[in-house]
Amino acid sequence: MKLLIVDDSNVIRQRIARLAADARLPNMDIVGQARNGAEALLMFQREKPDVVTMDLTMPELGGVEATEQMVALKNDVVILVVSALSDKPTALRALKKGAQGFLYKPFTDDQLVTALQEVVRP
Amino acid sequence: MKTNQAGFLRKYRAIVVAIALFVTIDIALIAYNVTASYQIDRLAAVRDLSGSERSSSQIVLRALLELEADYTSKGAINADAQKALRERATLINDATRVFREGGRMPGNVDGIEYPAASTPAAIRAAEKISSLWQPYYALVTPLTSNATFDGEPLAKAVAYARANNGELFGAINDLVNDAQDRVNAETNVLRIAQVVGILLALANFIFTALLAFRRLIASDRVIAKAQKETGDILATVKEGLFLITPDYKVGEQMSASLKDVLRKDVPIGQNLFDMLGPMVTPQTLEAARDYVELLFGKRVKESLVYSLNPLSEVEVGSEGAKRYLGFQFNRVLEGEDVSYLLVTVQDATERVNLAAQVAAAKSRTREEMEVLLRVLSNDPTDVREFLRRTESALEQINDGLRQVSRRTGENYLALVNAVFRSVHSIKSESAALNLEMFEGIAHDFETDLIALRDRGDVEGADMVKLTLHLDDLFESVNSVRGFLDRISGGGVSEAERSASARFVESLRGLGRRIAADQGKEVKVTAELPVFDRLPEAMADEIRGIGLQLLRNAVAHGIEEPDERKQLGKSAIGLVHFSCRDVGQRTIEFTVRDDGRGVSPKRIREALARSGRYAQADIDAMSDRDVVMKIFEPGVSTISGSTRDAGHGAGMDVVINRVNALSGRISMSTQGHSHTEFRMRFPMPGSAVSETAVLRQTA
Amino acid sequence: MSDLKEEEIKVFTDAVAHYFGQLTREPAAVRGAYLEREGEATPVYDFSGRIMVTGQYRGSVTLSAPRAMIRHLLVALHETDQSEDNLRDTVGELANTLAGNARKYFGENMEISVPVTAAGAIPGSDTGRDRPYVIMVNWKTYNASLVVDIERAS
Repeated sequence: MKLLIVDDSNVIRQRIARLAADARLPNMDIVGQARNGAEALLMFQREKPDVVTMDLTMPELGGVEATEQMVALKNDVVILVVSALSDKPTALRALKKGAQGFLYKPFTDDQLVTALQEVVRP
Repeated sequence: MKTNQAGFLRKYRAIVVAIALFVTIDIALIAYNVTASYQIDRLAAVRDLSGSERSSSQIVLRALLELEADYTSKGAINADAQKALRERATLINDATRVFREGGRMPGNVDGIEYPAASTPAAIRAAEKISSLWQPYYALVTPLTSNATFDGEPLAKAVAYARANNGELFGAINDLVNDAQDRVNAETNVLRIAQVVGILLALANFIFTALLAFRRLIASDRVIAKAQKETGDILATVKEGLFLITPDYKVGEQMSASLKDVLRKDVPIGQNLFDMLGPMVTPQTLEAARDYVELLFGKRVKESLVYSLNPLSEVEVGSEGAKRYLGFQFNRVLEGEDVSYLLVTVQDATERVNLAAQVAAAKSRTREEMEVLLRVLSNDPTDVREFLRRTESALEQINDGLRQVSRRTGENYLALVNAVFRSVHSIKSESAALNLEMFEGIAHDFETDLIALRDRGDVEGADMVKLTLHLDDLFESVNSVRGFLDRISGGGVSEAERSASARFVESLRGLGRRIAADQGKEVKVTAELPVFDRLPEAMADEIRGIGLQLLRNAVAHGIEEPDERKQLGKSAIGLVHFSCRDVGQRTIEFTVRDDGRGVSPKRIREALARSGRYAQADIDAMSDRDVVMKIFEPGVSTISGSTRDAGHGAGMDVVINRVNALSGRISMSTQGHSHTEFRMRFPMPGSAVSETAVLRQTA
Repeated sequence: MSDLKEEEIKVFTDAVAHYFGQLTREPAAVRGAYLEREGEATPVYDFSGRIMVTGQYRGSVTLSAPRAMIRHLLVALHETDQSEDNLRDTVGELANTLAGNARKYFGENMEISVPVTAAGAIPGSDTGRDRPYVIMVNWKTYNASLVVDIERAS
C-alpha cells in the first residue's frame, strides 16, 4: 500500500513515517511526505497513493481542499485526518469531502498504528 | 451469505429431510406404478391372446366339422370354413410358439412383446398345447390351402380334432386362467402399493406439517421472548435510547427513560433534526446533520470519527434550568449497509456543574463587596493598614511558593504550615475589622491548607491551588484599595486616631462578633499605655497576637452564660489586655480571661482525637507537658471547625509571632478561674517610659 | 473568588504531563506554582511555544523549555534529527497539545490560535492577568515553565 504523509510539522511527518514501518502495518510503503496541501497534490498526482495522512491547518492549501481534490482524482483513496488544531466543523468538512477517519493530535504510537489499521481495513 | 445458508440448513434440517423423503416416496411410487402397469398390460395381452387361441381352437373344430359336412353331403369344399380354418390354425400355431418361447406375433400386428410362459402351470400348459397342436396342425395344414382334397385326410383331421379338442381346450384354458390370475395378482399388488404409498405420503405430509408448525410456534416464542427482553431493556435502561432510520426519522423502539432524559416526548417517526432543532444552535445542528450523514454513509470509519460528534455535550433548557445532554451515535449494520443509528442520550449536567458553582461564587463575592462597602465608610484608615499588612504577608507567601517551585526536594509540608500561619493571621485581622470578604477567602484558603496538611504527602501540583487562593486575596486587596482611593479622594481625617484606639476597637469588634456567634457574652478591657509608641512592625505583630489570643479566649476559655452563673460568676466573660514597659527596654503584653482555664483533661482528649499520639503516650505525659501541647500546630480542643476555632492553629501563629519579635511567652491557668498569657519582648531602639493608663470597656 | 478554577489550570498542566507520559511513559510533574509579580518577566528557557486565546477567556498560555529537555524528549521518541527547527517544532507540538486539551475542555467558550514558537522568549504578550500563574513543570532532571496568563472576559 502506498502511503503519502501530509503535515506541516517535520516532527510529525517523521514520526508517522517511522510508525508506518510498524509490523502491524505490512506492505505500507511511503511514497511521499508533503508539507502543505499544494505539495501534497503534486505528489498525489505523481504517485497515486492508496492511503494519505492529512493535517488540516497548513500553509498554501489546507487539508480540507486537498482532501476534496484527492478524492476527485482517485475515488477509492483512503484519507486519515490527523489534526490537533481543527475544530469539529472543519474536521467534519474534511470527512464530508471523503476522508474516512479522524485522529486527534497528539497521538501515541499505538493510536496512530491502530487508526491506520482501521482506516485501511476494507 | 454462505454462513446464512448454512445456518438456514441447520435450522430447518428436519423439515428438509421430511420433504426429501416425501418426494422420494412419490417418485418411487410413480416408478413402481409405471413398471407395474406395463407388466399388467403385458399379462393382459397374454390373457387376451390365449383367450383368442382358446376360441380359435373351437372355431378350428367347427370349421373342420363344416368342411366334413359339406364334403360328405355335396362333395364340395366350403370356402368360408376353409378360410376360417386357415386363419385360426395359423393363429393357434403362432400363439403356441409365442407362449413357449416368448416374442412377437408374426408381422408384429399388435406391437406387443409377449413373455414366455413363466409360471409352472403356464409352462406345463404351453408344453401340453404344443404337443397336442403339432400333430393337429400337421393334419389340418393340407386342408387349408388346397382347392380340393380327399375325404381321408379330412376324416383323419376331424377324428384327431374330436379326440383331442377337449384336452387342447383345457390346456389353453389353463393358460388363459393363469394369465388372468397373474393380471389379478399384479393389479392387487399395484393397488396395495398405491394405497400404502398414499398412506406413506400422507404420514410424511402430516409429520412435515407438524414439524414445521412446531418450529413456527417455537420461533414465534423466541421472537416473543426477544421482544420482551428488548422491551425489558428499553424499559429499565437509564440512558435514553432510540433508533434513527436512514431518512433521519425516529424509530419505533425507544427506552422508557428517553423522555425523562430529554424532558419531552419523542413521537415515533419524528425527524431527528426537527427534534434537535429547538435544543441546539443552528451551527451545531448543521454539524450534527453532517455527522449523522457521514455515519449513514459507508465511507467513514465509525471508530475514527467519534471524537468529532458535535452533540457530545449540548446545553439545553432555559436560564435557571440549564442542563447538558450528551448524544452518542452508533451504527447498526444489516449486511454491509447501515440500517439504523442507535442513539444514546445521557444527562451530562454533572460534568459541567462546577462551572455553575463558580458563577454562584462570583455572585457571592459581589454580596460580600456590598457588606464591605458599609464597613469601609466607617474606618478607612484601619482598612488601609490592614491592606498594607495583608499585601506584605501575601508577597511573603508568594516568595515561598516561588522558591519551592524552583528547587528539587522541597519540603512542601513545611511551606504549607508557614502559609497557614500567615493566612490564619489574615483571617484574624479581617475578622477584627469585620471584613467578611477577606475572612471568607482566608477561611477557604485555610480549609484547603488543612486538607493538605492532614493528607501529609503534599506535592508540587497542590501549589496550584494555593496560587489561586493567593490571587483571590491579592485581587481583593487591590479592589478594596481601588475602592478606598475612589471614595477617599482628598483623604479622610480618620487616620488621625491613635493606633491603640484602633487596636482596642478591633479587639472589641472581634470579641463582640465571636461571642455573638457562640452565644456568649464578653467584655474586652485594655491597658495599652505604650502601644502607640511601638515601631509599626512590632505593633503589627502584637496586634496579631492579641487578636488570636482573644479568639482563643472567647472560643475556648469563656463559658456560656448559664454555666458561668452556676459557677457564681458574672454572665459576662472578661478578657483583659495590657501592654506595658517593664523596664530594661522590655515590653510586656498580657492577655487574661476569667474563663474555665486550660483543662489538661480536655487537651488529652484533643490529643487523642488528633491521632498524633498513642493513648499510652498521652497517659504518660504530665499535666504540664500536656498543657504545653497547645503550642503545637494542629491541636484544638474544639471538635468541629468554625471560622473562629477548631483548626488548632491559633497558638502556632502566636508562637511564631512571639519568635519573630525575639520574645518569650508564658502561661498560667487555673480551672474555673482564669487563663493568662504573658509575653515579654525586647524593645528595639530607645526605651519608652510609662505614661498613662487607659482603661476602656466594651 | 478567582475567575479561574484549579480544574481550568489543570487542563494545561495535565496536557503537558500527559504529553510526556504518553510519549515516554514518564509523565511530567508539577513542581510548584506561584504568581508572577506585575510587570515582571516570567521564566523563559531556550524554546517557547504559545497559544493565544480569545472568546470568553482572554490571554495566552506559554510553555518554555530548555534545549536539553526537548532533545531528551526527541531521543525518547527515537527521533534522530535534533536540528534547531525540529526542537522548535516539538515545542510547537506541545503547544498544540495545550490547544487540543483546552478545546476539549472549554469547547466553544475559547477560541484558540495557531501556536507561535520562538527560540527564547516570545515577544509581546501582556494581554492577560495582573499576576500570571507560573507553573514549574519537571520532567526527568529538567524544569520547564508553563505560564497561564488567561482571564475570564466578563
